[in-house]
Amino acid sequence: MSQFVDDCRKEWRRLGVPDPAANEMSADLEADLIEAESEGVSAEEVLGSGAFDPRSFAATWAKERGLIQPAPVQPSPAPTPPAEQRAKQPRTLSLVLAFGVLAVVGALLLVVRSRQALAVVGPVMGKPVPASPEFPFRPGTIVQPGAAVQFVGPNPFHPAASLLLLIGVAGLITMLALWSWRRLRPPVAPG
Amino acid sequence: MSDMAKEGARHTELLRGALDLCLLAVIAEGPAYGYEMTKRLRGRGLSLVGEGSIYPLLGRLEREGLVETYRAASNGGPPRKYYRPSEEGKRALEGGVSEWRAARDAIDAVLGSVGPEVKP
Repeated sequence: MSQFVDDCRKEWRRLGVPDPAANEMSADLEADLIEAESEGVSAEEVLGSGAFDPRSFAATWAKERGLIQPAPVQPSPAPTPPAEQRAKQPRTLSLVLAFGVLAVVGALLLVVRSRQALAVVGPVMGKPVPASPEFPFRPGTIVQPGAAVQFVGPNPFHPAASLLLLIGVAGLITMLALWSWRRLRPPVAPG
Repeated sequence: MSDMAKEGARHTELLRGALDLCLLAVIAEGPAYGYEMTKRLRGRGLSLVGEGSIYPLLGRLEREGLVETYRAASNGGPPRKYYRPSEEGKRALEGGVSEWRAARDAIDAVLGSVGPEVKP
């Protein structure tokens, strides 16, 4: 048996081709190759490009005869992010949440502070304006006669609340910018 | 890719689409075993050097019921597997030849005016 036929037999055995079919194909192939050689015809004339790759030749022949099942096409799994990226996702989410909480807390503090500070007084010289449904805030003091409206009371600016709001908003903007940059940058070719 | 390699690739593609018809045609002339078909093809100028093998193609034709096979003694050699077209194979050959000629005529109509001296 020629080396080519022997290699084919090994491949058929590996692929689980039934022996009767493998024997038949081997015998036909062997007889054809012997006849071609006796006529001075090269194996490539008989086998085509398959003469250089017995395993592929044997597998293709068995597959085309229906002796083996073609390898099932596996559906491509959904692309999973690399481990580094997977680790970054919760961290990014935590940062966004933290900055969001800072911004919200800062904003709430400022709102509360400004509501406490808001007092409206009317043009009554020298007399405090009592709280009323129209002006539901603790009044301050009128300072000048003729002034239409004046807000007095504690300074609504709250350094800590403002700082919290500033940090929170800046952090959120930074995270948004980073996220956009990661989405828009071209992928890095492997290798 | 060199011009020669391109020509070889085109030849392979063209042959791939018609080799099954060629096999059906040569066994329609008379039953033949594998190597005998190769000789008939070569006798008409169709060499398989550098091309796909006929054996997988014969396997597919057999699986699709386009050929019938039987074993018989060859000239002084071992028994060989002979192929001949089935009725379905004969119909497939007729249909395939019609398709081939229609495609060939259409392509000739396009390429016919191009002189062989024209280089791309």
